[in-house]
Amino acid sequence: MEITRRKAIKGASLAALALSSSGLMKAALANATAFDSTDYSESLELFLGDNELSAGDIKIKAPEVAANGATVPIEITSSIEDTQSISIFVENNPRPYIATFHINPRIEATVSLRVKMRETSNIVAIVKTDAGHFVAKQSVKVTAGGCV
Amino acid sequence: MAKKIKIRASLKNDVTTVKAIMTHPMETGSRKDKESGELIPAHYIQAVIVSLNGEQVFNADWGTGVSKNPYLSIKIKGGAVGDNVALTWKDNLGESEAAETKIKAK
Repeated sequence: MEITRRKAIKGASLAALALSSSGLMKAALANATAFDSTDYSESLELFLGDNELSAGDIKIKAPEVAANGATVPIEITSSIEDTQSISIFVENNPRPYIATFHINPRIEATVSLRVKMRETSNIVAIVKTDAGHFVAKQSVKVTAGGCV
Repeated sequence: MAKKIKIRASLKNDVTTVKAIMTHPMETGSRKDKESGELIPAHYIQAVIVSLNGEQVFNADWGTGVSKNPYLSIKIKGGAVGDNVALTWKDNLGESEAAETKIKAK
């Protein structure tokens, strides 16, 4: 029957798509678990996997003292060649892993956003390139915590 | 009704700076309602995509640590006045919003 045939073809192509994107799914799942982690070391481990961290030319622009922990403006700029992504962690937050920005060749390796900070903590920026993962940290003092 | 996404794109020295503010509660899921004492369920943007003339040029994965009513700024290499810049977000409850703007000269 025609309807059944259409359904069968759709099912097959979806399955093919699922198989081809399972690598992406695996990466996305690992990423998802890192987001849920409530421990900085654990979230870092989940995020990095087997990869190591080296110091890198990454500039973190953030206030020395954040008056309102609910919204702390930060800007991360990577001067490392072929930056593929910029990820942000706030070490002392209840969920330290904050975000990952995927840097397409069409855009500059710089992002600005506002993050929540529960208390005085290091902002940790991790940059991924073909040559490896690089890290930079900067401490921000928080006078009024903005994280639950 | 307040616009769910405010977006601007300005071109200067061959770089298009895109700035956007998204209206979203970005609930962590750990906050308690002051009156009922009940936990307010997590409700936060998980994915953000930016396109230039229909082609994706940027995407981000977010957790609950991004501030409420998120602000985002990125710089696209090049771009021309009149080009279309679009931003879409998807949250953990399956909601989605999109907005677009044309690049203006700064």
